[in-house]
Amino acid sequence: MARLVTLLRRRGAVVTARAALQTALAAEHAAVYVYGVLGARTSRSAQPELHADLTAAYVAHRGERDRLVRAIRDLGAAPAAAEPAYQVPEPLDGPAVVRGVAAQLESDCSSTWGWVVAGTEDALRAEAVSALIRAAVRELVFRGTPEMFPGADEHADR
Amino acid sequence: MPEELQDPQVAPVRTATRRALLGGSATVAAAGVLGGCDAGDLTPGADPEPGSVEAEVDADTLLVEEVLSDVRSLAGWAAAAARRHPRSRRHWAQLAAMHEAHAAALTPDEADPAAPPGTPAPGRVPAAAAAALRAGRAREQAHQDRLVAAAAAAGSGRLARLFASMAAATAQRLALWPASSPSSGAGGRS
Repeated sequence: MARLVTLLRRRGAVVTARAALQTALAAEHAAVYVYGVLGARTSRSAQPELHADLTAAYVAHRGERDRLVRAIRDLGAAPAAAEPAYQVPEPLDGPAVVRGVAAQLESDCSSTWGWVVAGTEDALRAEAVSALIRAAVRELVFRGTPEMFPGADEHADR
Repeated sequence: MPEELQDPQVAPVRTATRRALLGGSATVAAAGVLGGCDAGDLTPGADPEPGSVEAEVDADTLLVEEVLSDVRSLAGWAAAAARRHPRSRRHWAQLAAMHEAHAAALTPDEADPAAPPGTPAPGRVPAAAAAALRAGRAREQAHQDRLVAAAAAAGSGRLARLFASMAAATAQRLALWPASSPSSGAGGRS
């Protein structure tokens, strides 16, 4: 990673990459929080499949968050802290609404990762591409139908 | 979004270079996606020296041509599979539609995203439905891998994002891939 940082500095990109990763970290902080709320509002016994999907997504986003924290530290910056709370759509009345909120959350994360792909290079971009793919597949779990351009909505209406 | 990412650092150089490069018919397809690189291109490390940027755009043009050829081949194969296996036509037709949308995103607005005359045939579709599904899955997985590599290699950040998005869309299709035969359903949960 030190070699990567040297390369980025040489090409004047370290500030841009750091900002992109901080933005992604903010999105992942929010996702971890919102999935915590969605899981708490979903009955494990009444909605076992949805509860399992939410739990898996929560664990996945914690992993994304932790990878970002390490990457930002490797770039010599302090990772942005999570906010005390995030706004969650209300009311969360029923599994369909919960699934919709989760699908939108993953769509937002896909867009963020797509933006990070565009703002990074080399190993950081490769990580961002993988994160975008993971977010798109998670979105599919909640959305049910695939998309033409996950994370790059500007191409969807061509 | 952070201000650092909104600065189109290399737009003037890139514009002039691309126009010079895209004069020939062989590179016209690449203009579709590279045309969007001027404003808001997030490429963070683009070298301000004209020679380096020119080389980068040239490499991106080749990348677009390679990926577009791959996408057109897969669209043709999926369309052929839909004709050969009517019971799973919906699956193959939806796959073909995705590849056609991706081809359109890589093609300038005024150009036809369909394969031009003389394009090699996409390959034979197996007669057995299960074999066709296996072969199609292998093709799509290889395509996703190539898109990931193309996203990593692209000089333009905007082009990298498009390739990454195409890889993610392909990953979604693979997650829903039918298990073995049309009667087994769509495969993934929905």
